[in-house]
Amino acid sequence: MLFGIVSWIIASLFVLTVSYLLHRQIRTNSYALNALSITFLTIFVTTLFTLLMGLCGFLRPGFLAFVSLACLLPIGMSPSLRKELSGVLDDVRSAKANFKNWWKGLPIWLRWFTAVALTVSIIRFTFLILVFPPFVWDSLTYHLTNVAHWTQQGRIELFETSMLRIYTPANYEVLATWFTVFLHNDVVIEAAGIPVYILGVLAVYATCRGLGYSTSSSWIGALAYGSTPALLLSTTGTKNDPHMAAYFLAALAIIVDLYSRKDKSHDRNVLGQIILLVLMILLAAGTKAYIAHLLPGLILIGLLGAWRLHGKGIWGRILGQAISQLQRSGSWKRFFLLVLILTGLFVGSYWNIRHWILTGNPFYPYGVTIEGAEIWGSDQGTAHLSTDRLLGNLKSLVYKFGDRRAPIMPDLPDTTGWGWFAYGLGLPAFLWAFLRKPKIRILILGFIASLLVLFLSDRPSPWNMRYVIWFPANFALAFVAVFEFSTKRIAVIRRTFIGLIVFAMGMNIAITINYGRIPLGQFSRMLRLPTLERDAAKLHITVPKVYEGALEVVPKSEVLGYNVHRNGFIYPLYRADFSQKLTYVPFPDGGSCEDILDEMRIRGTSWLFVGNASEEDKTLAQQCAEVGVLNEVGEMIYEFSSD
Amino acid sequence: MNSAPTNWEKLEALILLGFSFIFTLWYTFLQGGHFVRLVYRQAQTLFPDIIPELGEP
Repeated sequence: MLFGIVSWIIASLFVLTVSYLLHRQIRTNSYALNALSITFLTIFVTTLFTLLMGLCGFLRPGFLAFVSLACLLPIGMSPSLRKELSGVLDDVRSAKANFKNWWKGLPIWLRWFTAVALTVSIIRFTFLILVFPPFVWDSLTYHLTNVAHWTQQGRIELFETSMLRIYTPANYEVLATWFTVFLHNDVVIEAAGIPVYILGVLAVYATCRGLGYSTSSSWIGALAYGSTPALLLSTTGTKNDPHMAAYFLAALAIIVDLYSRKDKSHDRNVLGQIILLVLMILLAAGTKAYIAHLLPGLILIGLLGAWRLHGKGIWGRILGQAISQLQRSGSWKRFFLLVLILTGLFVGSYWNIRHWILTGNPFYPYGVTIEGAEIWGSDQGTAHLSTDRLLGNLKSLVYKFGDRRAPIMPDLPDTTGWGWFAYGLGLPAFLWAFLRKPKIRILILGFIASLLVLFLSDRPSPWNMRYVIWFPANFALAFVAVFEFSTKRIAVIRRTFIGLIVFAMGMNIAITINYGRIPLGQFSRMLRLPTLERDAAKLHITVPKVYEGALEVVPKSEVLGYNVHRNGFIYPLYRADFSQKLTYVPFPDGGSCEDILDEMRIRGTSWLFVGNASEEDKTLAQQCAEVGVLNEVGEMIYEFSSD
Repeated sequence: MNSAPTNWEKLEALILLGFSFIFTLWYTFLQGGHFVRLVYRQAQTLFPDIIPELGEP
């Protein structure tokens, strides 16, 4: 464990060094955007480094630390890079001074509120990360199954399983692997959502600043979005949706700054901002394909926003400025930027290219249909745009509006998950700002455009709102406009608004403390277990008890064969320390007990778990036990019969 | 320097505040019920002898 921690520190030092060097090249002269830039680049470089190491089969703490040291050495020896790095102390001092000024500029109530909110958030996040193992459905079926397999094998690779969705773009899973590989345990795996949570909050702040709102109002907007229940729950819910929300909002912040700010100085670094924007879109593309559905809204905001302020041609001028900055750059900087773009292309397209080569369909396991014509076929599901889906999703939104149907839970069944602030303060602000504030109206139109395009493609379901956790940022942005307008010199209105803000955000946090669904009995059960032994199989929220029973029977040293249906849980079988070797045992159609035994022999296992298999497969396993081919050694767990 | 708000602006701000208040109450009524039930159920598991079980709505 100590070796893992030391390796993690060394590798993190390397990632931070590279992120800082890149940040120096593309940073601008806005503090809000620079905070966004360094946060994003750290996420980007971590993902890239883990992906490269994983593809080379070097996902081991020792390898990661060794390669990090080996790369830090030439960085330290290069005079030009050393010169760049020497600026870090000045930058830290400057950031500290700026933070101090920023903090002093906030009203006292907001300073207190921020301090309390931060303390509560840190305690809440730490508690949820350490006490609960992952329990959200999709994580247990495919997101974390990838993470567990890669961590166990030390390599990013495909493997045989019934769950075809392990093929989907997996940059989130790569980032999550960074949180498991060093400790070889999933104790902090939920923390993989924290960097993007910070990025999303910073993005809302930077967008407000870009629109010209004061630091205190912008910070209220950022905190408001940060308190959205759907976002809070998914941050530690081991899902990739908060990542998508953060990349979308970060891209929005850059676009707004590009068209809003009149500053034409060289320090603004338009070229760097455009590169950052491209990297954000690319990282999102390799995380989940629905960034393609969100882009039309961003483009609309860029076009309408620029047109409102400057008329036609502003984007041409911005691009011209970027090109002239590129021409003025030295060869070293150009090389740096080229490498950055190439790595972005790699991170953004790796998964789709891999699937194209392996299966002939870049979007495998999903098919694609355009205007009724099948471009890529698949039996898993087909992505297409249809007005039926749009109507279905809009009806679903109306049904869920107001969150009256159910408590808010991580998968958002039958709720929007937008919470007290969005509905209480955000909704009237949204309507008012649409009518009265043109710069917010443009954002609203863009958000709605993204929402509609997403709804054209998304399959209507009780859980569809989990793809829309970026939308409440719009309510926060609109409220910032209301707050600035309403509270100017009208003390009583300001005080009442402050009371509502504190109440709404407080309630948002209160309803998310136990994910809206974990009974106290499970809290105490988890707390009684040693921190490193809190297996996903032991938390009986989503996972059936048969998983825990199976792991009590099967020795860690043996390979466990499993058969689960196409949406069954695999991750809990790995155990928290990824010590359980697994192999998928497919049941041939119309197969016999002999066929199952053959499959088990081929895969080198004498154990068979069918706790989450289809009813047909469970019955077949039971029949094999009845005729004595398999021994039932526990509920839904079988062993080769020695008779 | 900010100019003093006009009476219309004050009225507009007041209306906004009023709507915010009403919408907050509305949401408290809708989602708050779930929250109260959740807290009640947790308390019931802690003190099953004192607090009776809650029926389904």
